[in-house]
Amino acid sequence: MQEIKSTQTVIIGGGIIGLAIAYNLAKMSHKVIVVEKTYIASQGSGRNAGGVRQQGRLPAEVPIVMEATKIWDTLSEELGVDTEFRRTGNLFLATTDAELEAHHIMSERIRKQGLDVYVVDEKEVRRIVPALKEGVCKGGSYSPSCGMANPLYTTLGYGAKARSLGVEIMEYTEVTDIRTINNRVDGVVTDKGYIKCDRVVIAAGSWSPALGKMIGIDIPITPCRNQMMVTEPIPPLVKPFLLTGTCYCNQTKDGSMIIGNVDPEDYCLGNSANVNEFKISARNMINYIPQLANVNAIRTWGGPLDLTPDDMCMLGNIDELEGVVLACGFAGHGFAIGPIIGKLLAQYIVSGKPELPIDEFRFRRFKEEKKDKEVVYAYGQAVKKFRD
Amino acid sequence: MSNNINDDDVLICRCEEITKGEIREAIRKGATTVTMVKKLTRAGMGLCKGKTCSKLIQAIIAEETGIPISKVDFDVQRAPLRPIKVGTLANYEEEDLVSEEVCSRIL
Repeated sequence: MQEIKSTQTVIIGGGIIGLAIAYNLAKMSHKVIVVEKTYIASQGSGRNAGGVRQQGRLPAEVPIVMEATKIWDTLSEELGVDTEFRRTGNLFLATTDAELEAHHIMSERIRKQGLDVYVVDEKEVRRIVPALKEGVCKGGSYSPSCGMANPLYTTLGYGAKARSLGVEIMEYTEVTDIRTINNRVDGVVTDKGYIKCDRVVIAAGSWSPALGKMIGIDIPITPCRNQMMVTEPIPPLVKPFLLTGTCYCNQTKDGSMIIGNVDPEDYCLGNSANVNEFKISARNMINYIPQLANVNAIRTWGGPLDLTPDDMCMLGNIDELEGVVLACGFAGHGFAIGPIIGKLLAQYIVSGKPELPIDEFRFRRFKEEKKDKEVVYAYGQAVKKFRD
Repeated sequence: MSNNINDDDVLICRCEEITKGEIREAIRKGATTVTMVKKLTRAGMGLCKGKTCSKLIQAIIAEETGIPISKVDFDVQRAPLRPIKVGTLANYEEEDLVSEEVCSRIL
């Protein structure tokens, strides 16, 4: 195939991860081309609920998401767009005593890592969210420094800023193969031609396994449906991002309520919503916030979360092939930590020295000796159980 | 051609109050489908869900880009067709899907 371009790094995937890496690399005068199958922010980065949550994270992710939240504070100025980021707080509700006990354990562990998260009783929960019905929860855990932002504006902002720094973003360009020579990456074959490069970053969310196949690696991502509805704008009703089990709701800056849920059993790559699932999330949320019953839902949509076996993303090089960097499998945490992942991976690519350790997210962990694997998996399962 | 007329202030999406000028700006930024214009401007995200403006936006994209109007991708249709109370969504039963009110709103 005719070579059309050549660059230092090709990033596959025009979501917040790929664009934040591109933007940070461009700031370090590194040559980047982003290849996106459709258009930027077309998938999870443009259609998630916008939560910037620090609590309830795995230990390895806590320092990363705390650093990310600091970047969020000034990201609007940095990108020159309104990301709508506000520190609204994040509230996890507990409906049983056993759940509340789990909140105690999780909160204490994360508090030791420096986060302002504490367990609250029902009275305090109702002080934070006065609209909450009495007697429906046992309390919960609350982190006031968490927040929410507008995913679409943020991701488009990263794209525009990256472009202004010279990053080329090729939209409607599909990668059909990754070509290797002597066990290292030579370039990326696309339907628009060949791009010769030193390095390929796989940042394609739930579509990453298909790219892994091209180079003979098995990227363990399971796409699972996350879906939400948005209502008409209403006066301020719920300040924090509210989570309970697999359902959640939050109120955007313009006053619309987003009500969503994750169905961990529903594996799919589509953008559609399952109408029957909304019965569950609508019932669930009305049970907590009765006023929601009279609000009009306007639109529904869905999208896949890229779940991994241990709920942790994959970052960095792989042993199998030189020149491949993974940045995928964010399991629904990618939007919140996108800004810091962009910075860390850019540092990793340019100097090999990211300012925060990312070793725990190595791809190799899935193959390492059983003991480590069991620890990692056990933790993932514990978190899953806690969520259920 | 209407390009010669300064009609940038004309309201195209009445629900979200988006003008023709704002839609042209989105097209200049690279939007080539009704969905992309929607995402960039919020046109079509309001209570009527683009029933009035989607076709107008399709025409503006065709006019501005030269893409034949039949080739300009229309907006993705998302349930519900009309706004529906969250409480109605929470309480409908499978059998209700044959009831006209719920059926016409959800599907």
